Amino acid sequence: MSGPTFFGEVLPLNSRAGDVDADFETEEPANFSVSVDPEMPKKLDSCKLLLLAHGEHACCYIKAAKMETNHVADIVVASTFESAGAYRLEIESSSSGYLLALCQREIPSEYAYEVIELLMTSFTASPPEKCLILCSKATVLHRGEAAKSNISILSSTNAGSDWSGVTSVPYLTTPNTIDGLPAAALTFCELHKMSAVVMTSWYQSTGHSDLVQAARSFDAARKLSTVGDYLLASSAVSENLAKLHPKNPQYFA
Amino acid sequence: MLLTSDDEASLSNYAPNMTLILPAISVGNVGQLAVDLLISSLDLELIAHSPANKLTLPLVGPSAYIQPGSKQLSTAVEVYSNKEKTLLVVQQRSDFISHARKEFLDSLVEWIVKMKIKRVVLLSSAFLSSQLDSFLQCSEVEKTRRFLSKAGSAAFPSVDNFEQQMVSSRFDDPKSLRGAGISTSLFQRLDERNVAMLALVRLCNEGEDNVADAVAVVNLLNDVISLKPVDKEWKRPISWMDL
Repeated sequence: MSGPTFFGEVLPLNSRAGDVDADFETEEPANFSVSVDPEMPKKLDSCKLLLLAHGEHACCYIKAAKMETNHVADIVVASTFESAGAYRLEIESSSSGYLLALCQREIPSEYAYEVIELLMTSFTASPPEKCLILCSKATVLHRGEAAKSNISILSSTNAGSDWSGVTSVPYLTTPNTIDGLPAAALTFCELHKMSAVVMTSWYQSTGHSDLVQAARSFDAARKLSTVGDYLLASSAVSENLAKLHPKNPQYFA
Repeated sequence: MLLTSDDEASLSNYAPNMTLILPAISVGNVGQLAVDLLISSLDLELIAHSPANKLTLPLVGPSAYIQPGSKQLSTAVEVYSNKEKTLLVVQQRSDFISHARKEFLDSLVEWIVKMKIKRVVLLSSAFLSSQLDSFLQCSEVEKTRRFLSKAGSAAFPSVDNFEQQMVSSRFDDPKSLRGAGISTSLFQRLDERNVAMLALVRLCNEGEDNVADAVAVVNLLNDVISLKPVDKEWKRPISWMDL
């Protein structure tokens, strides 16, 4: 199917309907496998906070803001075709009882829920008490009214009194949605009646200064309950963000 | 699998009197738009976010139906019901994970049979451009093809001009439905299990006014099972503000 665009070009139209509907009896198996590496990591007895950082901006912020952690394991989404690279979710833990999951490179949505199920069950003896998920989206994707702030949140039904400060951060407005790994995490928490918040930073462009600005926006997470207890002071975070390597934002200069 | 065992238990006494309405992910999202109109207009309440969410591409957002200020979530697969528990309506916002369609179909059929749901309505659509010429020239009403399972006649006595066989997409079959997603597979499975099922399949194309197609579908459904007074308008949900 194709159609004209605003400027007269004829381009393929996105459609949720296939040209020929699939024969489900002969459906292909998944192209990727999801596993924990190493297979049997040591579990925390309890986890007060699971902090999931998804995408470049969130990972930048967390690397600048986190206190001392130890690497526990990776959740690996690996292709059955060797030519495709694996996706990794790096899991770290701290002695103060929080778990950190860093996903620099976005995991395909098809495997997001499977990854989240492993994340929630493989590293702690009991489910995390609270989950905070950080992610970002381009401002041009904001629908409806213009975003009043460069930060917005969405919370699970059970995220009530244990997230004091949540009302000070603007709520995501209809008809905006979140997809991918952050959506899988919030869905899991909703289905399992867990307390969770997704915080989205809206960025203007992929330039370096906007990356730093978007990362810095996540500092609003300090307003939420005791999240600040697990992060370095704002001044230290700002200093660290200022050292971000302009050509390689995964690293600090 | 549509509901947890706790939610199932709360509905089990009502199920033999319930009509289950669900959309197919299909051309122009007509089924999903139609379900949006039903939920928004019939004062249905959210009873569960479905465990079937794990079989779909993840999606969350604020409620599609409640004004700002509510903290109710929308997820990819939700189940709504009316206060009298005669209607069970499923909304599905994103497509299945590619290797999970069969699992969803098999478990949905088993669930419908286990719960002894009285009757099932599937709201769907198919590409108009690949239909017989006779359909291209048909009236607006005739653009919605009606399919009744063998057990469906008694459960939907007012449906006329219906077909009893749904053919999946094959280029050599002029009656086949292309772009209708899981419609044919679900219809055939439920027919084999003697479940009363009505499938309304709107013939349309992407990029046309698919909202009008959705309204046509729910109007026809309303003629069949009287959901609301005919002169009352369908209420558009707030999530449609960009449409």
